[in-house]
Amino acid sequence: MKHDFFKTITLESLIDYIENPEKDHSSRIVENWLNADPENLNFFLKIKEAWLNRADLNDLRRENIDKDFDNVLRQIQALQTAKSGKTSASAKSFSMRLLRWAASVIIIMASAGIAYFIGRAQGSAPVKADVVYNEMIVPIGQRSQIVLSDGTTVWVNAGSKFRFPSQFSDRKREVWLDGEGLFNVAKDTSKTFYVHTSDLDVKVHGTVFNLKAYSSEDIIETTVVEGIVSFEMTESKAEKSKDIFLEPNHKAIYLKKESAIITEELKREVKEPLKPLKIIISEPVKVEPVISWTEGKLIFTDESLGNILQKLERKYDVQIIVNNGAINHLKYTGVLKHVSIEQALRALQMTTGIQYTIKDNIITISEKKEKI
Amino acid sequence: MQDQELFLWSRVMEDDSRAFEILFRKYYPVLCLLSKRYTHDMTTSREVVQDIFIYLWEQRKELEISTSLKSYLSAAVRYNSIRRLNDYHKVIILTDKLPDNSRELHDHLEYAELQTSILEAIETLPEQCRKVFIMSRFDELKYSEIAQQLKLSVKTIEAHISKALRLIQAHMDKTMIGIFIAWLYDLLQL
Repeated sequence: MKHDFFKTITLESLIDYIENPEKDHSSRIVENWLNADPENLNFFLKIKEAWLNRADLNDLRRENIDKDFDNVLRQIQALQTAKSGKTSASAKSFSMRLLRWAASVIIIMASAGIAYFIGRAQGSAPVKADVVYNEMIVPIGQRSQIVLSDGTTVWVNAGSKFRFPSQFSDRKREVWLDGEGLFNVAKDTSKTFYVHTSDLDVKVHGTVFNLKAYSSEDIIETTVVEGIVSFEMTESKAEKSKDIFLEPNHKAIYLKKESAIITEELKREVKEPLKPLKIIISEPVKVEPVISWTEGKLIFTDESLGNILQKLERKYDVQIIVNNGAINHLKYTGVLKHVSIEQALRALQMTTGIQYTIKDNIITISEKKEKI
Repeated sequence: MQDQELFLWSRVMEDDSRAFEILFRKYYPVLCLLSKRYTHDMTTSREVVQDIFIYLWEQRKELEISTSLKSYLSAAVRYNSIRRLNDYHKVIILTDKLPDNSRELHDHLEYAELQTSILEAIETLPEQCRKVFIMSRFDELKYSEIAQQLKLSVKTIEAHISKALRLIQAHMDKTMIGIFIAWLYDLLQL
């Protein structure tokens, strides 16, 4: 168990969140913390369970432990007297057994009502326990579609984690994404729809947009297909949220840090220089290539091989090693649709002048040797 | 076995009931919480763990503990809690159908230890602070009700609660590191 959780959050705010999840300001801090690391969520769930089961601790208060220890001593003594041949003691132990049997009948009856009881108890607790948070983990090499309780559909791409409630609250709709997703958000102007990512919160009412926010990557990209999208920064990062609006066929690019590697493609799409911790809106872009992953299709328009190979790794669950860094800058245009990884590589080989070898799940790419 | 455990156990083997009591008080809460993960009923769990301690005393001369006392007791709790379910609930749980013991037991134990560290922390709170905390979070009294009963202001009650949570956090922080090391230690002993 990692032990440094309390360096980033206090027990008090966690418990506050468990007891009043609707309290806005502090809940945001906790939610962002939960979002920051799956380990945090894990730890939180344990704390939550422990806290909701604190009646158990009440059973184990000093007074009860004293009582139980006395009971153990009494039984040990009873056993010893029984061994030394006194029948009265064994009669006593028999009646104890009978008593226990009676107790167990009560337990059986109680356990039949457990599910009902738990449902009731949680319903009346301050925590809205009837809302269950689901986490969908889409492995590398796969993609998945889900329909949320409000009718919103979400495609979730390979290597992503998506967290959503079984039921949205009365005031807002909130989900959490680490990875890439295409959202078709059901229209409901009274309940704003939020997608929380590691650094940015995306805020919409009813739109179609693609959000690429892998916590392992330095860049968050949002591309709008339909409707309007706006943003909020996740707590204490950069300037306070000015509402930034994004229109269809535009991409918003957010760099998490200075050292983020900016691809040629991105540089082409934006006019002004990209700055870290600032949202930059692109020139109009073609949306199709951005969302083609939902159909198992990859569309590349003059895209660098470095980028393409990264997408192939995710889609096919393979590891690709490039022998010569210069290869990454080669460009490719084309559509890969319903092809195997080998067919994809062959297509690249034909037009870009690379060659590849596959061994186990590892693909090595090198420059094609010139024919003499 | 760790030194302290080894010492206490050797005393128990020589019929020292005081050493037995220390072991009981040390392990009883965490074992009850562990057992509850299987029985889902604290009364049953308390019985199961008490039976184990009775057996432990009865068999003290014959028992061979090859790992640590803690590992031995955790395994015993797991086995007997499941058996108790079979006997009383007429629900048949085949032991070999359960996920292979060590991982699942480890998870349950980790959770039980987290709970135990909260319990211990509550027991070590300053008297007034503990009283307020228990009235608020166990007896579910409102701050205003507690204030009235203890003749304190609501502000003071709030401060006590906040302090209690801070102290519990500090205690958990300390023990969780301890738990982790203790667990590693146990694994290395195996």
